Amino acid sequence: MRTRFIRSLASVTLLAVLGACLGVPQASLAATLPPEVDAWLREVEIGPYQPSAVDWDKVYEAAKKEGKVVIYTSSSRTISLKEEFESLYPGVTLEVYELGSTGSIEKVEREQLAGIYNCDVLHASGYPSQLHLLANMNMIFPFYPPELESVIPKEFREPLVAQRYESRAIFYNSKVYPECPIDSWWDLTKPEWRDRIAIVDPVTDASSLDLITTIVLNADELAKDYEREFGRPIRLTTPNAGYELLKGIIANRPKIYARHTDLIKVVGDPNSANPPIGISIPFSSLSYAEDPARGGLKLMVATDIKPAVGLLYPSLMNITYKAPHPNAAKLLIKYLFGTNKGELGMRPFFVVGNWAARIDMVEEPVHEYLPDVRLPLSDLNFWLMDPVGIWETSAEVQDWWMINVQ
Amino acid sequence: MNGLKVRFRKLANRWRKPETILAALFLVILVYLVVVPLFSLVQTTLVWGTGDTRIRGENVVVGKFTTYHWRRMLSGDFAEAVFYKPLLNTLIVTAGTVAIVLAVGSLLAYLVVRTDIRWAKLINALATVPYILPSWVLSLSWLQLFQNSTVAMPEGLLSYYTGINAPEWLVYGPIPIMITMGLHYYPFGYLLISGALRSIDSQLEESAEILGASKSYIMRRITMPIIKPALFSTALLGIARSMGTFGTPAILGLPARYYTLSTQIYSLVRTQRQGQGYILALVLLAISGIGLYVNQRVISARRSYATIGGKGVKSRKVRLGKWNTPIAVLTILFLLAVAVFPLVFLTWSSLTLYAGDYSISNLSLHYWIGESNPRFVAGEPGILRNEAVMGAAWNTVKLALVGGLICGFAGLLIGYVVARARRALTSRLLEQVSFVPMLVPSIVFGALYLTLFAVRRGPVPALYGTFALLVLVTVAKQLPYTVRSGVSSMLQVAQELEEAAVILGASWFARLRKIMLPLTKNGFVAGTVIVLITSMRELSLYILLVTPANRVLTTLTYRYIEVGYTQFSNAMTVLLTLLVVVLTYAINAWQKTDIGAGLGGR
Repeated sequence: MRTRFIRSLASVTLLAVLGACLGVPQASLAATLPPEVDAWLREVEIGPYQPSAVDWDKVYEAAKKEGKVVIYTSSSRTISLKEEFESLYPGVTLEVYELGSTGSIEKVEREQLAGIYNCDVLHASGYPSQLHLLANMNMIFPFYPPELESVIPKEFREPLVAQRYESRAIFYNSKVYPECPIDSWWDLTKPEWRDRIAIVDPVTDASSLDLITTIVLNADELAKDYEREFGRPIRLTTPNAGYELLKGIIANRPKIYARHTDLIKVVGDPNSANPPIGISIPFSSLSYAEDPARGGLKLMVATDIKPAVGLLYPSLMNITYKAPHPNAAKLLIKYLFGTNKGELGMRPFFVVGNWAARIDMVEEPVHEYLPDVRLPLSDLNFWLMDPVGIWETSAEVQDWWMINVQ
Repeated sequence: MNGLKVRFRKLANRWRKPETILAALFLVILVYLVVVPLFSLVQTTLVWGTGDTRIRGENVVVGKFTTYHWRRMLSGDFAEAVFYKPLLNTLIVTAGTVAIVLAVGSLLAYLVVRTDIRWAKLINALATVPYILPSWVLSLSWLQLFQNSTVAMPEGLLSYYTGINAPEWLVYGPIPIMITMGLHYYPFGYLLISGALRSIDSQLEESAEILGASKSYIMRRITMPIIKPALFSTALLGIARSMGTFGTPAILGLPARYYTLSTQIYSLVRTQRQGQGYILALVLLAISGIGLYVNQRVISARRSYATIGGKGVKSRKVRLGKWNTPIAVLTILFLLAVAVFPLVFLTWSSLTLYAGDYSISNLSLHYWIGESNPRFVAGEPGILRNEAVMGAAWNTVKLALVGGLICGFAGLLIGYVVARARRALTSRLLEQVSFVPMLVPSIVFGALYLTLFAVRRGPVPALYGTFALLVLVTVAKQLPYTVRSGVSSMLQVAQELEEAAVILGASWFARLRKIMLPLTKNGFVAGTVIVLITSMRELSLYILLVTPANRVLTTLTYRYIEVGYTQFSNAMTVLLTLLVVVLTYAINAWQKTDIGAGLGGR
């Protein structure tokens, strides 16, 4: 993981440079922004005009005048923050609107195109779309508390600000399979898994499309792993080994679910005799495992899969252009970064399977029902999201999937 | 020269008639609410969208003209998979659904109206319940019943109690989709056909019998022709509704990789490929359009609809004899299974603290009235003390009442205009244009309204984020129901009544207020109730239009379903159903009516 991580760091930095060339607003390029955008950014001091120190008392005073802050979020967990935020900053109401990542991005884009400025903070994943549809179109801008600069790595600040890492991976039923029954993506193409695979729909779920696109982008690694797994070089009937893997999975007649929340119930059902292996479930779903309120799901994530356990991607939080409550938005972002113990706005996301953007975290989250499960990011071999590669390839992969899945 | 003068005077006279002015006014409004969105739908298929910028090998300029979407959707592998195959699936599923709707609907209608079956009132009340339930309820119940380990699912009730594992084709795919959609939409058929059956004067059949006609001859030459319009209307409504339904094929088709046009439209729109998705929407529109055309040919063949006259209608009921009780029991059992079982199951589930544990000790009112507890549903308080849920419930009721009333009134006035000048071009245009929204899938209609009303256009301010936009989209989408009921109730009132009033010097408003409205009040109330029910459990129409301040119960429930709060969202579904039932019955008790008339059945 370590070398991978360094490599990913390098690639993200490269991407940031690339992004800058593509027109993502950077301090040095602020002059290229349309004058009215530039003027607004200068006025509210975000994006390229973020100051090196913020007087938070002043920001709070201004936020009180604004009265509220509106967040479009991908996560239902954000709703639980309302009370604490409002008690921390009396006079500022937190309006949470939970829309899923695709929904949040679409809504911001449509509103911005129509000149409607409803939302202050967009808190969602969907990095490729956010970068290309929103950031490049001057619809969202980064802001982070400058005092955290040293503890938030650059790739979590530029070109967009991220709160944490989310992921998509493979899950299995821990009651039926005490040990993970597979160790390679290629196992899923074997006949014993026919009719026993389920996947989140890559056509309607953006992160699942990102995962299968990442599989296609990492075809070379998969080709090598094919040879390791089967002892012979891969013979291609599709453009590359990534498509070949997807073709093999489709040949095993996977069940397709619109949402990962539906899929985890099927995979982790404690009474199921023949549960499927579930593809494209977030690591953080592990927090539902054994929870009696959720039906005591017997869920476990596959942590040892070659060539990679799945896709790792940032979950972002940025301020929308012409946000009606920009000061309250800054307070909210500061709050969402939380503390180095995973408190405040980070609390609902400080769970096994989520990894904070800040690198000064002093402890690992503990699973309420599975205290032995610790999943530090450094132990896991992920494919790190390549937002530009995904943006350019996903339409092709989506078409291929729609054609071949039936 | 003289001829021209006469024609001019005729024209001027026509314009002095209030119905002409009304017709013109409604046409303008409908053009804005229906034709403009339709135009924008077509336009979207012919330009590059923002999501297309990722396509490689094409010169994509957002907003510029392109035939790319049409080329993609008409030929090649992609068209095969995304258009032609789902089209075939849609036709199969729709045919099956309509067959079930017609069979179940007419059988029930026959039993209730034309026989002396026991407990007819109870059967009548139960028969309409499936229409009240949100469309996803029946399909989820289907899975609860039939899922099993051969399809890599947990055990359903059938498998649990009998050990029988249903084969995959019974769990997923076209068969269960047809059955659940058929059972969801048969109340259309029931209401329309029973309305038609009631209007048959059994003296007609009796005279035929006296003259020596055989039973089958009477059926063929008397009964069938009279209920034919109702049968065709049922089929048309069935086609339009089931083709556009997204929830059922998503739940029962998707897992088995069985796609219909509605699920493909949803996928394409969700992934910012509106250009391609809207082409499929146009295909749905075209199919329903053909259905509408056939339907109108059939209905216009019948000359008179007037049944409100001086004569009474007599009906003689068929005696079921010793079969009465068994048939009644069977019918009630069937209705309980379809209408009540899913509701009981949902209620029960909403009362279980821990999911999947149905023991008595696990029963709890936490998801209904519990205080916030972070261990359950991320600390959401029970729905009855939950601000967001209560706000959404209030919005739902408000929207349904306001939308229903506006719709009902507009429908009646349009009905009046159409009925008074049956052959005029404006009438035909009005009737046809107002029906179009029925043919546009809700998800597409919502997306169009979002684009159209997001910014100020001429005198119309930007409505996005306002309650008014929800009302507007409800009125436009549901107007087909009230226009149909408006037209048919107005047609029932013989013109001679109004002519008598004209002779006595009554003004147009007086005629409308004293004669037309009182006589068609039933149609008005019934139309309003249908809109009320339909809009309260409508999801896809609003899903893109709601903002935090004005969300409705269905969109909120859907979010909770998405994040997997099973018991909590089940409680909300039960709440929604109760609200619909209570409102419907309150209105029915206050204004004695029959919602069948709301579908234009009588």
